[in-house]
Amino acid sequence: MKLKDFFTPKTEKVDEEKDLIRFLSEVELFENLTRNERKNLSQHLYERTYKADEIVFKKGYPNVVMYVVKEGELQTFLDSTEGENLKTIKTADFFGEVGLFLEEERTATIVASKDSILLGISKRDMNRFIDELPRAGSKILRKLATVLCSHLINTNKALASKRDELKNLKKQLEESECQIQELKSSQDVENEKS
Amino acid sequence: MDRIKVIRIVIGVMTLGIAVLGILFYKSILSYLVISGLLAYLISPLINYAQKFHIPRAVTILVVYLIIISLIIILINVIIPQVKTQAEEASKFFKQIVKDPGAFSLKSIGLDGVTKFIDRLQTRFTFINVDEYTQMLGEKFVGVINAIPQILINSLSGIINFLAFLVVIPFVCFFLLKDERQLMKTFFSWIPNRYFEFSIYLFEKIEDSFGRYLRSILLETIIVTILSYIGLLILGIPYALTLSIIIGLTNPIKFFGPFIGFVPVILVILFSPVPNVMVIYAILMSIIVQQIDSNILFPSLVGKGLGMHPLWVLLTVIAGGYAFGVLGLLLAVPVVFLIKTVVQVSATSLKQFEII
Repeated sequence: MKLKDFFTPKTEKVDEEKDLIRFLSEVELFENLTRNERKNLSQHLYERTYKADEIVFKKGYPNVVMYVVKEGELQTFLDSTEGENLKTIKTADFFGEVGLFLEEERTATIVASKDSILLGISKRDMNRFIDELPRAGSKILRKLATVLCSHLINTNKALASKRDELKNLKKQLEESECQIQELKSSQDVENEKS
Repeated sequence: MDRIKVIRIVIGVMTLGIAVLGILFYKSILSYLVISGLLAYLISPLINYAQKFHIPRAVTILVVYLIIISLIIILINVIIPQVKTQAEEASKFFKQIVKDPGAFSLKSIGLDGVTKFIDRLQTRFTFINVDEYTQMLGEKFVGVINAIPQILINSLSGIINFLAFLVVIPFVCFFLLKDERQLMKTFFSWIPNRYFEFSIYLFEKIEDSFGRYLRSILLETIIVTILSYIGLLILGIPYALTLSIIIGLTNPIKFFGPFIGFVPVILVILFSPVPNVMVIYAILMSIIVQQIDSNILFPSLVGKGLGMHPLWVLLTVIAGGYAFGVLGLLLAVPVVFLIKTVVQVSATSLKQFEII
Protein backbone atom coordinates (compact mmCIF):
# COMPACT_ATOMS: atom_id res chain seq x y z
CA MET A 1 0.00 0.00 0.00
CA LYS A 2 1.28 3.42 -0.90
CA LEU A 3 0.87 6.65 0.99
CA LYS A 4 -1.60 7.93 -1.59
CA ASP A 5 -3.79 4.85 -1.03
CA PHE A 6 -4.27 6.00 2.51
CA PHE A 7 -6.25 8.95 1.23
CA THR A 8 -8.00 7.35 -1.74
CA PRO A 9 -11.74 6.69 -1.59
CA LYS A 10 -12.89 3.51 0.05
CA THR A 11 -14.34 1.87 -3.09
CA GLU A 12 -10.97 1.64 -4.84
CA LYS A 13 -9.47 0.11 -1.76
CA VAL A 14 -12.21 -2.52 -1.61
CA ASP A 15 -11.60 -3.42 -5.28
CA GLU A 16 -7.89 -3.76 -4.59
CA GLU A 17 -8.60 -6.00 -1.65
CA LYS A 18 -10.89 -8.18 -3.79
CA ASP A 19 -8.19 -8.45 -6.44
CA LEU A 20 -5.68 -9.50 -3.84
CA ILE A 21 -8.01 -12.16 -2.41
CA ARG A 22 -8.71 -13.49 -5.91
CA PHE A 23 -5.01 -13.57 -6.67
CA LEU A 24 -4.29 -15.59 -3.54
CA SER A 25 -6.47 -18.43 -4.84
CA GLU A 26 -4.11 -18.70 -7.82
CA VAL A 27 -1.13 -19.31 -5.56
CA GLU A 28 -0.56 -23.01 -5.14
CA LEU A 29 0.10 -22.67 -1.43
CA PHE A 30 -3.21 -20.95 -0.69
CA GLU A 31 -5.49 -22.50 -3.33
CA ASN A 32 -7.42 -24.64 -0.82
CA LEU A 33 -8.25 -21.77 1.53
CA THR A 34 -11.79 -20.46 1.78
CA ARG A 35 -12.51 -16.88 0.84
CA ASN A 36 -12.73 -15.82 4.47
CA GLU A 37 -9.42 -17.43 5.29
CA ARG A 38 -7.77 -15.76 2.31
CA LYS A 39 -9.24 -12.44 3.38
CA ASN A 40 -7.80 -12.93 6.84
CA LEU A 41 -4.44 -13.89 5.39
CA SER A 42 -4.37 -10.87 3.09
CA GLN A 43 -4.32 -8.61 6.13
CA HIS A 44 -0.87 -9.89 6.96
CA LEU A 45 0.59 -9.33 3.50
CA TYR A 46 2.92 -6.43 2.75
CA GLU A 47 2.98 -5.42 -0.89
CA ARG A 48 6.45 -4.47 -2.14
CA THR A 49 7.51 -3.28 -5.58
CA TYR A 50 10.97 -4.10 -6.89
CA LYS A 51 12.66 -2.73 -9.98
CA ALA A 52 14.62 -4.96 -12.34
CA ASP A 53 18.04 -5.94 -10.93
CA GLU A 54 17.03 -4.97 -7.41
CA ILE A 55 18.13 -7.42 -4.73
CA VAL A 56 15.32 -8.81 -2.56
CA PHE A 57 17.65 -10.48 -0.09
CA LYS A 58 21.14 -11.90 -0.04
CA LYS A 59 22.51 -15.19 1.13
CA GLY A 60 23.33 -14.93 4.83
CA TYR A 61 20.57 -12.49 5.82
CA PRO A 62 18.31 -13.60 8.70
CA ASN A 63 15.13 -15.40 7.68
CA VAL A 64 12.35 -12.90 8.34
CA VAL A 65 9.89 -12.71 5.47
CA MET A 66 8.39 -15.18 3.01
CA TYR A 67 7.37 -13.82 -0.39
CA VAL A 68 4.75 -14.63 -3.00
CA VAL A 69 5.29 -13.22 -6.48
CA LYS A 70 2.27 -11.23 -7.59
CA GLU A 71 3.84 -10.01 -10.78
CA GLY A 72 7.19 -10.20 -12.47
CA GLU A 73 10.12 -12.56 -12.52
CA LEU A 74 13.05 -13.18 -10.19
CA GLN A 75 16.24 -15.18 -10.30
CA THR A 76 18.00 -17.29 -7.70
CA PHE A 77 21.75 -17.29 -7.20
CA LEU A 78 23.63 -19.54 -4.87
CA ASP A 79 26.75 -17.48 -4.41
CA SER A 80 27.10 -14.10 -5.99
CA THR A 81 24.83 -12.46 -8.53
CA GLU A 82 27.50 -13.13 -11.20
CA GLY A 83 27.09 -16.88 -10.80
CA GLU A 84 24.70 -19.19 -12.54
CA ASN A 85 20.96 -18.59 -12.28
CA LEU A 86 19.73 -21.59 -10.31
CA LYS A 87 16.02 -21.18 -10.80
CA THR A 88 13.68 -18.60 -12.26
CA ILE A 89 10.77 -17.61 -10.02
CA LYS A 90 7.60 -16.60 -11.83
CA THR A 91 4.21 -15.13 -11.01
CA ALA A 92 2.28 -17.03 -8.27
CA ASP A 93 5.47 -18.78 -7.13
CA PHE A 94 6.70 -18.31 -3.61
CA PHE A 95 10.12 -18.27 -1.99
CA GLY A 96 11.71 -17.90 1.44
CA GLU A 97 9.54 -20.69 2.85
CA VAL A 98 12.56 -22.38 4.42
CA GLY A 99 12.57 -19.63 7.02
CA LEU A 100 9.19 -20.76 8.33
CA PHE A 101 10.77 -23.87 9.76
CA LEU A 102 14.47 -23.26 10.20
CA GLU A 103 16.22 -20.53 12.14
CA GLU A 104 19.03 -20.61 9.60
CA GLU A 105 20.12 -17.76 7.40
CA ARG A 106 18.99 -17.23 3.82
CA THR A 107 20.50 -19.93 1.65
CA ALA A 108 20.38 -18.06 -1.64
CA THR A 109 20.35 -14.59 -3.13
CA ILE A 110 17.17 -13.46 -4.90
CA VAL A 111 17.29 -10.73 -7.53
CA ALA A 112 14.40 -9.33 -9.53
CA SER A 113 15.08 -9.83 -13.23
CA LYS A 114 12.05 -7.78 -14.27
CA ASP A 115 10.01 -5.14 -12.46
CA SER A 116 8.14 -7.19 -9.86
CA ILE A 117 5.48 -6.91 -7.21
CA LEU A 118 5.95 -9.20 -4.23
CA LEU A 119 3.65 -9.98 -1.32
CA GLY A 120 5.68 -10.43 1.83
CA ILE A 121 4.45 -12.14 4.94
CA SER A 122 6.61 -12.17 8.02
CA LYS A 123 7.56 -15.50 9.48
CA ARG A 124 5.94 -14.59 12.79
CA ASP A 125 2.66 -13.44 11.21
CA MET A 126 2.54 -16.64 9.15
CA ASN A 127 3.09 -18.81 12.21
CA ARG A 128 0.49 -16.81 14.11
CA PHE A 129 -2.00 -17.20 11.28
CA ILE A 130 -1.41 -20.96 11.28
CA ASP A 131 -1.89 -21.07 15.06
CA GLU A 132 -4.99 -18.90 15.08
CA LEU A 133 -6.75 -20.59 12.18
CA PRO A 134 -5.58 -24.19 12.51
CA ARG A 135 -7.90 -25.43 9.77
CA ALA A 136 -6.46 -22.99 7.25
CA GLY A 137 -3.02 -23.57 8.72
CA SER A 138 -3.16 -27.32 8.14
CA LYS A 139 -4.19 -26.73 4.52
CA ILE A 140 -1.25 -24.42 3.98
CA LEU A 141 1.19 -26.72 5.74
CA ARG A 142 -0.02 -29.77 3.79
CA LYS A 143 0.37 -27.92 0.50
CA LEU A 144 3.78 -26.73 1.60
CA ALA A 145 4.78 -30.28 2.50
CA THR A 146 3.64 -31.48 -0.93
CA VAL A 147 5.65 -28.75 -2.64
CA LEU A 148 8.73 -29.44 -0.54
CA CYS A 149 8.42 -33.20 -1.16
CA SER A 150 8.24 -32.66 -4.89
CA HIS A 151 11.27 -30.37 -4.58
CA LEU A 152 13.02 -33.13 -2.72
CA ILE A 153 12.13 -35.75 -5.34
CA ASN A 154 13.30 -33.43 -8.10
CA THR A 155 16.51 -32.76 -6.25
CA ASN A 156 17.01 -36.48 -5.73
CA LYS A 157 16.43 -37.12 -9.41
CA ALA A 158 18.81 -34.35 -10.33
CA LEU A 159 21.32 -35.74 -7.87
CA ALA A 160 20.96 -39.23 -9.30
CA SER A 161 21.41 -38.00 -12.85
CA LYS A 162 24.41 -35.95 -11.77
CA ARG A 163 25.82 -39.01 -10.05
CA ASP A 164 25.37 -41.06 -13.22
CA GLU A 165 27.00 -38.29 -15.18
CA LEU A 166 29.85 -38.29 -12.73
CA LYS A 167 30.20 -42.07 -13.01
CA ASN A 168 30.27 -41.82 -16.78
CA LEU A 169 32.84 -39.07 -16.57
CA LYS A 170 34.93 -41.18 -14.21
CA LYS A 171 34.70 -44.14 -16.57
CA GLN A 172 35.70 -41.95 -19.48
CA LEU A 173 38.54 -40.56 -17.45
CA GLU A 174 39.77 -44.04 -16.53
CA GLU A 175 39.49 -45.19 -20.11
CA SER A 176 41.36 -42.19 -21.40
CA GLU A 177 44.02 -42.69 -18.72
CA CYS A 178 44.37 -46.33 -19.85
CA GLN A 179 44.66 -45.15 -23.42
CA ILE A 180 47.31 -42.64 -22.46
CA GLN A 181 49.28 -45.28 -20.61
CA GLU A 182 48.99 -47.66 -23.54
CA LEU A 183 50.15 -44.91 -25.85
CA LYS A 184 52.99 -44.09 -23.49
CA SER A 185 54.09 -47.72 -23.20
CA SER A 186 53.91 -48.17 -26.95
CA GLN A 187 55.97 -45.01 -27.36
CA ASP A 188 58.52 -46.32 -24.86
CA VAL A 189 58.78 -49.55 -26.78
CA GLU A 190 59.27 -47.59 -29.98
CA ASN A 191 61.92 -45.44 -28.32
CA GLU A 192 63.79 -48.52 -27.10
CA LYS A 193 63.62 -49.99 -30.57
CA SER A 194 65.08 -46.92 -32.12
CA MET B 1 23.25 15.40 -12.62
CA ASP B 2 23.84 18.42 -10.39
CA ARG B 3 20.37 19.70 -11.02
CA ILE B 4 18.89 16.40 -9.78
CA LYS B 5 21.04 16.58 -6.67
CA VAL B 6 19.87 20.11 -5.93
CA ILE B 7 16.26 19.11 -6.44
CA ARG B 8 16.74 16.15 -4.15
CA ILE B 9 18.23 18.31 -1.41
CA VAL B 10 15.42 20.85 -1.75
CA ILE B 11 12.78 18.12 -1.54
CA GLY B 12 14.55 16.57 1.44
CA VAL B 13 14.65 19.88 3.31
CA MET B 14 11.00 20.51 2.49
CA THR B 15 9.99 17.06 3.76
CA LEU B 16 11.90 17.66 6.95
CA GLY B 17 10.23 21.05 7.34
CA ILE B 18 6.80 19.55 6.85
CA ALA B 19 7.59 16.84 9.40
CA VAL B 20 8.75 19.42 11.95
CA LEU B 21 5.69 21.59 11.31
CA GLY B 22 3.47 18.53 11.66
CA ILE B 23 5.00 17.64 14.98
CA LEU B 24 4.61 21.23 16.19
CA PHE B 25 1.01 21.32 14.99
CA TYR B 26 0.04 18.03 16.65
CA LYS B 27 2.27 18.62 19.70
CA SER B 28 -0.59 19.31 22.08
CA ILE B 29 -2.31 16.00 21.39
CA LEU B 30 0.87 13.94 21.26
CA SER B 31 0.37 12.69 24.80
CA TYR B 32 -3.19 11.55 23.93
CA LEU B 33 -1.81 9.67 20.97
CA VAL B 34 0.77 7.98 23.17
CA ILE B 35 -1.85 7.00 25.75
CA SER B 36 -4.33 5.74 23.14
CA GLY B 37 -1.51 3.85 21.47
CA LEU B 38 -0.61 2.18 24.74
CA LEU B 39 -4.26 1.35 25.47
CA ALA B 40 -4.81 -0.02 21.99
CA TYR B 41 -1.67 -2.06 22.35
CA LEU B 42 -2.91 -3.60 25.57
CA ILE B 43 -6.37 -4.40 24.18
CA SER B 44 -5.29 -5.63 20.74
CA PRO B 45 -4.54 -9.28 21.65
CA LEU B 46 -8.17 -9.63 22.73
CA ILE B 47 -9.45 -8.25 19.42
CA ASN B 48 -7.07 -10.48 17.46
CA TYR B 49 -8.24 -13.47 19.43
CA ALA B 50 -11.88 -12.72 18.64
CA GLN B 51 -11.04 -12.38 14.96
CA LYS B 52 -10.19 -16.06 15.03
CA PHE B 53 -13.92 -16.74 15.19
CA HIS B 54 -14.59 -14.39 12.27
CA ILE B 55 -16.10 -11.74 14.54
CA PRO B 56 -15.57 -8.32 12.92
CA ARG B 57 -13.02 -6.21 14.72
CA ALA B 58 -15.40 -3.29 15.17
CA VAL B 59 -17.90 -5.50 17.01
CA THR B 60 -15.30 -6.86 19.41
CA ILE B 61 -13.95 -3.39 20.07
CA LEU B 62 -17.43 -2.11 20.90
CA VAL B 63 -18.03 -5.06 23.22
CA VAL B 64 -14.71 -4.40 24.96
CA TYR B 65 -15.67 -0.73 25.25
CA LEU B 66 -19.00 -1.66 26.79
CA ILE B 67 -17.24 -3.89 29.32
CA ILE B 68 -14.75 -1.13 30.15
CA ILE B 69 -17.54 1.46 30.52
CA SER B 70 -19.50 -0.80 32.86
CA LEU B 71 -16.32 -1.47 34.83
CA ILE B 72 -15.75 2.27 35.11
CA ILE B 73 -19.34 2.75 36.29
CA ILE B 74 -18.85 0.04 38.91
CA LEU B 75 -15.56 1.68 39.86
CA ILE B 76 -17.17 5.08 40.27
CA ASN B 77 -20.18 3.80 42.21
CA VAL B 78 -18.66 1.13 44.42
CA ILE B 79 -14.91 1.23 44.70
CA ILE B 80 -14.09 4.92 44.55
CA PRO B 81 -16.44 5.96 47.40
CA GLN B 82 -15.01 3.15 49.49
CA VAL B 83 -11.42 4.16 48.71
CA LYS B 84 -12.30 7.79 49.30
CA THR B 85 -13.83 7.19 52.72
CA GLN B 86 -11.00 4.88 53.63
CA ALA B 87 -8.40 7.41 52.52
CA GLU B 88 -10.19 10.19 54.39
CA GLU B 89 -10.40 8.10 57.53
CA ALA B 90 -6.75 7.21 57.22
CA SER B 91 -5.67 10.78 56.73
CA LYS B 92 -7.84 11.91 59.68
CA PHE B 93 -6.27 9.16 61.68
CA PHE B 94 -2.75 10.29 60.82
CA LYS B 95 -3.59 13.94 61.51
CA GLN B 96 -4.86 12.98 64.94
CA ILE B 97 -1.62 11.19 65.59
CA VAL B 98 0.35 14.28 64.65
CA LYS B 99 -1.77 16.39 67.01
CA ASP B 100 -1.27 13.96 69.84
CA PRO B 101 2.37 14.41 70.90
CA GLY B 102 2.58 11.09 72.67
CA ALA B 103 1.33 9.10 69.74
CA PHE B 104 4.66 8.74 68.01
CA SER B 105 6.39 7.38 71.00
CA LEU B 106 7.50 3.89 70.17
CA LYS B 107 6.12 2.92 73.55
CA SER B 108 2.64 3.72 72.32
CA ILE B 109 2.83 0.80 69.93
CA GLY B 110 2.67 -1.29 73.04
CA LEU B 111 5.07 -4.09 72.25
CA ASP B 112 6.64 -5.09 75.56
CA GLY B 113 10.01 -6.02 74.09
CA VAL B 114 10.33 -2.74 72.24
CA THR B 115 9.46 -0.69 75.33
CA LYS B 116 11.98 -2.53 77.46
CA PHE B 117 14.62 -2.12 74.77
CA ILE B 118 14.01 1.62 74.56
CA ASP B 119 14.15 1.97 78.33
CA ARG B 120 17.44 0.11 78.44
CA LEU B 121 18.83 2.26 75.65
CA GLN B 122 17.87 5.43 77.43
CA THR B 123 19.40 4.40 80.73
CA ARG B 124 22.65 3.44 78.97
CA PHE B 125 22.91 6.39 76.61
CA THR B 126 21.22 9.30 78.30
CA PHE B 127 22.01 11.67 75.44
CA ILE B 128 19.74 9.73 73.08
CA ASN B 129 16.13 10.73 73.23
CA VAL B 130 14.50 7.94 71.24
CA ASP B 131 11.04 9.37 71.52
CA GLU B 132 12.11 12.70 70.08
CA TYR B 133 13.75 11.04 67.07
CA THR B 134 10.81 8.79 66.34
CA GLN B 135 8.45 11.72 66.64
CA MET B 136 10.53 13.74 64.19
CA LEU B 137 10.64 10.82 61.78
CA GLY B 138 6.92 10.28 62.19
CA GLU B 139 6.08 13.87 61.41
CA LYS B 140 8.25 13.83 58.32
CA PHE B 141 6.59 10.63 57.21
CA VAL B 142 3.11 12.05 57.66
CA GLY B 143 4.20 15.04 55.59
CA VAL B 144 5.28 12.72 52.79
CA ILE B 145 2.08 10.67 53.02
CA ASN B 146 -0.01 13.82 52.82
CA ALA B 147 1.97 14.99 49.81
CA ILE B 148 1.55 11.76 47.80
CA PRO B 149 -2.00 12.38 46.53
CA GLN B 150 -0.98 15.88 45.47
CA ILE B 151 2.06 14.56 43.61
CA LEU B 152 -0.05 11.93 41.88
CA ILE B 153 -2.69 14.43 40.87
CA ASN B 154 -0.11 16.93 39.62
CA SER B 155 1.75 14.43 37.48
CA LEU B 156 -1.42 12.96 36.07
CA SER B 157 -3.07 16.26 35.24
CA GLY B 158 -0.01 17.13 33.20
CA ILE B 159 -0.78 14.28 30.88
CA ILE B 160 -4.50 13.96 30.90
CA ASN B 161 -7.09 16.57 30.45
CA PHE B 162 -10.22 14.87 31.69
CA LEU B 163 -12.49 15.95 28.84
CA ALA B 164 -9.93 14.92 26.27
CA PHE B 165 -9.53 11.67 28.05
CA LEU B 166 -13.24 11.03 27.73
CA VAL B 167 -13.63 12.08 24.11
CA VAL B 168 -10.41 11.88 22.15
CA ILE B 169 -8.72 8.82 23.56
CA PRO B 170 -11.55 6.30 23.05
CA PHE B 171 -11.99 7.51 19.47
CA VAL B 172 -8.30 7.35 18.60
CA CYS B 173 -8.05 4.03 20.35
CA PHE B 174 -10.99 2.67 18.38
CA PHE B 175 -9.48 3.49 15.02
CA LEU B 176 -6.03 2.30 16.05
CA LEU B 177 -7.56 -1.04 17.00
CA LYS B 178 -9.86 -1.37 14.01
CA ASP B 179 -7.25 -0.49 11.38
CA GLU B 180 -4.27 -1.95 13.18
CA ARG B 181 -3.04 -4.04 10.24
CA GLN B 182 -3.81 -1.28 7.75
CA LEU B 183 -1.76 1.21 9.76
CA MET B 184 1.10 -1.25 10.01
CA LYS B 185 0.99 -1.86 6.26
CA THR B 186 1.06 1.88 5.62
CA PHE B 187 3.95 2.36 8.00
CA PHE B 188 6.04 -0.41 6.46
CA SER B 189 5.21 0.72 2.92
CA TRP B 190 7.15 3.93 3.64
CA ILE B 191 10.30 1.96 4.29
CA PRO B 192 12.64 1.37 1.31
CA ASN B 193 13.11 -2.22 0.10
CA ARG B 194 16.68 -2.25 1.35
CA TYR B 195 15.56 -1.80 4.96
CA PHE B 196 12.18 -3.57 4.77
CA GLU B 197 13.27 -6.92 6.18
CA PHE B 198 15.45 -5.28 8.79
CA SER B 199 12.61 -3.06 10.00
CA ILE B 200 10.22 -6.01 10.27
CA TYR B 201 12.90 -7.95 12.13
CA LEU B 202 13.52 -5.05 14.53
CA PHE B 203 9.80 -4.44 15.07
CA GLU B 204 9.08 -8.08 15.87
CA LYS B 205 12.05 -8.44 18.20
CA ILE B 206 11.00 -5.33 20.13
CA GLU B 207 7.42 -6.52 20.30
CA ASP B 208 8.51 -9.91 21.50
CA SER B 209 10.48 -8.60 24.44
CA PHE B 210 9.12 -5.15 25.30
CA GLY B 211 5.48 -5.67 24.36
CA ARG B 212 5.19 -8.85 26.32
CA TYR B 213 6.88 -7.14 29.25
CA LEU B 214 4.39 -4.26 29.19
CA ARG B 215 1.33 -6.48 28.95
CA SER B 216 2.46 -8.89 31.60
CA ILE B 217 3.37 -6.10 34.03
CA LEU B 218 -0.20 -4.84 33.79
CA LEU B 219 -1.63 -8.29 34.42
CA GLU B 220 0.82 -8.84 37.26
CA THR B 221 -0.28 -5.60 38.92
CA ILE B 222 -3.93 -6.62 38.79
CA ILE B 223 -3.29 -10.12 40.16
CA VAL B 224 -1.03 -8.89 42.98
CA THR B 225 -3.66 -6.32 43.95
CA ILE B 226 -6.37 -8.97 44.14
CA LEU B 227 -4.15 -11.39 46.08
CA SER B 228 -3.16 -8.71 48.59
CA TYR B 229 -6.77 -7.65 48.95
CA ILE B 230 -7.81 -11.20 49.75
CA GLY B 231 -4.91 -11.58 52.20
CA LEU B 232 -5.68 -8.32 54.01
CA LEU B 233 -9.37 -9.18 54.17
CA ILE B 234 -8.59 -12.54 55.74
CA LEU B 235 -6.34 -10.85 58.32
CA GLY B 236 -9.11 -8.34 59.01
CA ILE B 237 -6.92 -5.29 58.53
CA PRO B 238 -8.82 -2.02 58.03
CA TYR B 239 -8.64 -0.05 54.74
CA ALA B 240 -7.86 -3.32 52.94
CA LEU B 241 -8.90 -2.05 49.51
CA THR B 242 -6.86 1.15 49.61
CA LEU B 243 -3.84 -0.68 50.97
CA SER B 244 -3.99 -3.44 48.36
CA ILE B 245 -4.28 -0.90 45.54
CA ILE B 246 -1.15 0.81 46.88
CA ILE B 247 0.63 -2.56 47.04
CA GLY B 248 -0.44 -3.40 43.49
CA LEU B 249 0.60 -0.04 42.05
CA THR B 250 4.01 -0.07 43.68
CA ASN B 251 4.65 -3.71 42.74
CA PRO B 252 6.07 -3.01 39.25
CA ILE B 253 8.77 -0.79 40.81
CA LYS B 254 11.68 -3.16 40.91
CA PHE B 255 13.14 -4.05 44.34
CA PHE B 256 11.70 -1.08 46.24
CA GLY B 257 8.11 -1.59 45.17
CA PRO B 258 7.03 -4.30 47.60
CA PHE B 259 8.69 -2.45 50.52
CA ILE B 260 7.23 0.94 49.63
CA GLY B 261 3.83 -0.63 49.18
CA PHE B 262 4.03 -2.38 52.48
CA VAL B 263 4.94 0.59 54.68
CA PRO B 264 1.34 1.91 54.87
CA VAL B 265 0.11 -1.55 55.90
CA ILE B 266 2.50 -1.68 58.86
CA LEU B 267 1.62 1.88 59.89
CA VAL B 268 -2.09 1.20 59.70
CA ILE B 269 -1.73 -1.91 61.83
CA LEU B 270 0.49 -0.21 64.43
CA PHE B 271 -1.71 2.82 64.85
CA SER B 272 -5.11 1.15 64.67
CA PRO B 273 -7.01 -0.96 67.20
CA VAL B 274 -5.93 -4.15 65.41
CA PRO B 275 -3.51 -6.16 67.58
CA ASN B 276 0.10 -5.39 66.75
CA VAL B 277 0.97 -9.05 66.25
CA MET B 278 -0.86 -8.67 62.97
CA VAL B 279 2.28 -6.98 61.61
CA ILE B 280 3.98 -10.35 61.58
CA TYR B 281 1.03 -12.03 59.89
CA ALA B 282 0.85 -9.19 57.39
CA ILE B 283 4.56 -9.51 56.65
CA LEU B 284 4.04 -13.26 56.23
CA MET B 285 1.19 -12.58 53.86
CA SER B 286 3.27 -10.13 51.87
CA ILE B 287 6.09 -12.67 51.65
CA ILE B 288 3.65 -15.28 50.36
CA VAL B 289 2.25 -12.86 47.77
CA GLN B 290 5.77 -11.85 46.73
CA GLN B 291 6.78 -15.49 46.40
CA ILE B 292 3.72 -16.24 44.27
CA ASP B 293 4.54 -13.17 42.22
CA SER B 294 8.23 -13.82 41.70
CA ASN B 295 8.10 -17.61 41.38
CA ILE B 296 4.84 -18.20 39.54
CA LEU B 297 3.47 -15.00 38.03
CA PHE B 298 6.67 -13.33 36.82
CA PRO B 299 8.23 -16.41 35.19
CA SER B 300 5.01 -17.46 33.47
CA LEU B 301 3.99 -13.96 32.36
CA VAL B 302 7.18 -12.06 31.72
CA GLY B 303 9.23 -15.15 30.98
CA LYS B 304 12.96 -14.95 31.01
CA GLY B 305 12.81 -11.57 32.67
CA LEU B 306 14.41 -8.34 31.62
CA GLY B 307 17.90 -9.54 30.95
CA MET B 308 19.20 -6.49 32.80
CA HIS B 309 21.57 -6.87 35.73
CA PRO B 310 19.77 -6.27 39.08
CA LEU B 311 22.23 -3.51 39.98
CA TRP B 312 21.48 -1.72 36.74
CA VAL B 313 17.72 -2.03 37.35
CA LEU B 314 18.21 -0.63 40.86
CA LEU B 315 20.22 2.35 39.64
CA THR B 316 17.70 2.97 36.85
CA VAL B 317 14.83 3.08 39.32
CA ILE B 318 16.70 5.56 41.55
CA ALA B 319 17.69 7.75 38.61
CA GLY B 320 14.15 7.69 37.25
CA GLY B 321 12.80 8.75 40.63
CA TYR B 322 15.26 11.64 40.82
CA ALA B 323 14.55 12.85 37.30
CA PHE B 324 10.79 12.44 36.91
CA GLY B 325 9.32 11.71 40.35
CA VAL B 326 6.67 9.05 40.80
CA LEU B 327 6.19 8.51 37.07
CA GLY B 328 9.94 8.14 36.74
CA LEU B 329 9.99 5.41 39.35
CA LEU B 330 7.35 3.50 37.41
CA LEU B 331 8.47 4.13 33.85
CA ALA B 332 12.28 4.31 34.05
CA VAL B 333 12.88 0.58 33.81
CA PRO B 334 10.51 -0.08 30.86
CA VAL B 335 11.88 2.89 28.89
CA VAL B 336 15.52 1.96 29.50
CA PHE B 337 14.66 -1.63 28.65
CA LEU B 338 13.08 -0.50 25.37
CA ILE B 339 16.17 1.50 24.41
CA LYS B 340 18.41 -1.38 25.40
CA THR B 341 16.41 -3.82 23.21
CA VAL B 342 16.56 -1.50 20.20
CA VAL B 343 20.32 -1.00 20.55
CA GLN B 344 20.98 -4.68 21.14
CA VAL B 345 18.89 -5.96 18.24
CA SER B 346 20.24 -3.32 15.85
CA ALA B 347 23.82 -4.01 16.87
CA THR B 348 23.63 -7.65 15.80
CA SER B 349 21.21 -7.47 12.90
CA LEU B 350 22.54 -4.34 11.15
CA LYS B 351 25.65 -6.34 10.33
CA GLN B 352 23.69 -9.41 9.30
CA PHE B 353 21.66 -7.34 6.87
CA GLU B 354 24.87 -5.71 5.59
CA ILE B 355 23.53 -2.23 6.34
CA ILE B 356 26.72 -1.30 8.15
